[in-house]
Amino acid sequence: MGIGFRRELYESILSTQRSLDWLEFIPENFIAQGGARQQALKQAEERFPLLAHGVALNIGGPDPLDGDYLRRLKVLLDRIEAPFFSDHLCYQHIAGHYFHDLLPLPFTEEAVRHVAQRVREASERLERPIALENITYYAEMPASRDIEPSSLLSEGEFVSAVLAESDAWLLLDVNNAYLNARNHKRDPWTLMQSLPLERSVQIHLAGHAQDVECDVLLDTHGEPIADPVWALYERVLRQLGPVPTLIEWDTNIPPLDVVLNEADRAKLLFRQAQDHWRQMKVEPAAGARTLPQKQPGVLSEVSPQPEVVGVA
Amino acid sequence: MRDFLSGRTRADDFSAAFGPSPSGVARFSFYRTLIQRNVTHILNRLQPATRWYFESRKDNLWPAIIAGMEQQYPPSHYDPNRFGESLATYIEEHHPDHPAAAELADYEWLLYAASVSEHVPSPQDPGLERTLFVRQYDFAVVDFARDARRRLQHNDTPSPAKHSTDEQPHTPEARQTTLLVYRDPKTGLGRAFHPTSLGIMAIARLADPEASLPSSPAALDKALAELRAHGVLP
Repeated sequence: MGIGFRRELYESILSTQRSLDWLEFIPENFIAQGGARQQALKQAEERFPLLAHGVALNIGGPDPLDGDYLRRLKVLLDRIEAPFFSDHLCYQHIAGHYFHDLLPLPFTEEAVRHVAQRVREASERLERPIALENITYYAEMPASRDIEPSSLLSEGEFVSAVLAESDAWLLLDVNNAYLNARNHKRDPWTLMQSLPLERSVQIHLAGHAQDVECDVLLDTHGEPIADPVWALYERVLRQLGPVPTLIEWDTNIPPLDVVLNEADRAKLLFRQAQDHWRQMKVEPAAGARTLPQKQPGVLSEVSPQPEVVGVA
Repeated sequence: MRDFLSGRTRADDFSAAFGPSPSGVARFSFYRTLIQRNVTHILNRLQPATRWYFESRKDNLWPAIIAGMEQQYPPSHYDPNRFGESLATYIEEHHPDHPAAAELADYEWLLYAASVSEHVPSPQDPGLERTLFVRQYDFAVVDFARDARRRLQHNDTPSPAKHSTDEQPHTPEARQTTLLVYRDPKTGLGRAFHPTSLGIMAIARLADPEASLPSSPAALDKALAELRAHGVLP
């Protein structure tokens, strides 16, 4: 199990004696930056395996991929020996205007081809596989008036097509799938089954909340994981087998113990899935990738999201 | 789409031109709401004292400033904090009657810039770098910023709604200040230091060893040692 390496928790993470298998950090908080954050990241490297989860790759955007960003990102990924890099199936900026949000793409064949080509390019430049996360979307994006509505893909078809054409992995965000189902009045498990689950290299779990202005459940990453999301996660693990899982808590961050309690709950379900698959004596459907082992005691069978930091 | 997301075009005008969202205009418009929240969050976190300054006033220009910044100096970097880099300039351009606020915005930006800049000076490469900035301000921004941040940590927010004629808005004291903003080598965070005139001359000598300065080398060496002892210079 992993948790997010967030500024509010640097000190407590680096000194915790509780079980914690790996950390995920947002590389945009560390690329081309020095100071306290770099010091903290270097200390984290000495103790934990690290994975980078980006928010600025802009894999679906119209601008060319940012060469400077990719170069600096690769240096960082090489340093931490990252086995893969993950970002989101979305776009984040247009013509140099960064929106600092995860903006959905229209579910069209054209978008599939566009993203797949950029994934191949990014993967080549980073010299490692890419995993894309299924994002929450609050509205379907307009497609061109030239496109027949009947040719539009569903969310599951779109994600599946992108990953198939680009051969990318899936970073399965169970909370996002749940929110999309609820916000668009679909059955969560049916939606889940439409995603290319067999490509899952990692699972994210996070909290959500009802938005105060719009009638949507918002992907806030600022609350405990909801019971229906836990239930969906348990069901996914039974189908896929044990998949490395990250608890995302990025806003209203509580003390570390609270976050680790969520991780422990996920670990219990993870181990139940492990036992289940061992009893079946069958290879799991997904998740058979290994994180680099940094020190003894790291759970070796552990197989294969800009913070706004602001005030210094 | 950029014009809609940045607020220059309304959702229904965008839909009329390019086609509707199958989810309806209200849901589509929500993305503009999310982006407005993002830019507000960025500046609220990055420059809380500047925010405090404006929010303590009856006319509370802070929301309008954020909106204006987004149009004139939109976020243009993957580090969201870079959005605050032009805030001082924006305030100078559009609100010249608030010079203290412009200095506050500049100071708060420098705290961040000093803390995250890549380059760390070394004995082999000393001198002024991006982890050290020199400023001459007309207002006591350090004291005001410290006070504002302390109040915000204790959830004490300015309340322009309750502002009365008996209560003065929060304003930094008018006081000429020479300031060094640097990265504290122990914490890696931005800090402020009030140098003496000798200290300023010592820094100038580092930048230009041939400069003719009205002080003895021994006095300048002593000032330099003091700066190093405080961690301002390596």
